[in-house]
Amino acid sequence: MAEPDKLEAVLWLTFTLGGFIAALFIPVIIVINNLAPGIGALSQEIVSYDSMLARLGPLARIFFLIVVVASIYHGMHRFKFVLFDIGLLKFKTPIYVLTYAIIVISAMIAIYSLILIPNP
Amino acid sequence: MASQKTIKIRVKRYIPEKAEEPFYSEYDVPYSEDMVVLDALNYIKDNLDGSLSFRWSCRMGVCGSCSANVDGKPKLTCSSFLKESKGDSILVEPLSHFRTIKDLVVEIDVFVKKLKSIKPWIIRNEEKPIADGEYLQTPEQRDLIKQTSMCINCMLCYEACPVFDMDNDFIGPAAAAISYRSVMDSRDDGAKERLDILTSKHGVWDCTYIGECSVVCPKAVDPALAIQKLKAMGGISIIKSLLPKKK
Repeated sequence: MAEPDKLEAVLWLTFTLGGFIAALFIPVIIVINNLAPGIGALSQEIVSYDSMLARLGPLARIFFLIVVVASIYHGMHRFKFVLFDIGLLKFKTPIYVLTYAIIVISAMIAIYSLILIPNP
Repeated sequence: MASQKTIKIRVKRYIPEKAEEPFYSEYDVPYSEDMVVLDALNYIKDNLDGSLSFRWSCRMGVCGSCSANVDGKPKLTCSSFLKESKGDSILVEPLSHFRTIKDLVVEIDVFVKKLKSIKPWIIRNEEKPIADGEYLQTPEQRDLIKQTSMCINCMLCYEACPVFDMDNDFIGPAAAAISYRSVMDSRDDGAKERLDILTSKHGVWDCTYIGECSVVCPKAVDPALAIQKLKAMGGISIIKSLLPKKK
């Protein structure tokens, strides 16, 4: 009797969730931070570093952490598949270790950075 | 009388009792606009070289027997018209992701084993007596499985799949699409059983969603989509099984 691969299921569902979060929020962040001030829809002052920092409460920090980690997770999972597609499936285990290590390290850097950024 | 127009058919041959390595044979075949590659192969077999081996049956894109690479692309030879060829010759080769037995005939046991593993029949918890009639479906229920029901087991999707090329254990596109059809069938009670197989180590997880399987399918089945849906269904089913059960 075939046993379901629970780990793969969790990894894949996290990948889809990461894609959902990235697709939903990254365009919004790009519009608010870059496009809207560029076309004059938002004043430069509102999106300035100091102004954004003043709004960076605990919830905003958690939001950015989720967006960053989810996007990196999604990207690395996809990158793993790209490596398989170019013929590296025989190196499956090292590729898993490499891609998930990058995710963990990136998450740690993201957490550390968000803690380091001073409170308003 | 004008001389008959001909076209060159180049066939990759493999005759293990004659030569260890494959070789190519070229044949000049009378050309007409309505001819397909299978017609040309049959002309060669009947008139030029009786030793040429290939599978075929229905000649109308239904049986899925005559799959081969035509000019490097996985196709049914019965549905590939000679006039579609851009050059003055056509290259016909066996499916490369399967072991060649002879010429264009490949070993299909790998695929049949996969097909058998996903139990491509209706599984019922309880069979009703024949006297009670058929298991009826509404048009909406039928629509859910219509597309994947079109699969003819031609294995062209396996030829197009780079993952199957690297890992023969991968369940692959057709078996997954046929499973999806069964899982979604309103008459079937075997969804859990099949999802356990499909979400196992050699199930659907290795699909990298290149989508070439759906591109080459001669019956417009979309195995790539079926696999993604199975991943979602299987994943959710696994997560549910990990949650504490209600008493």
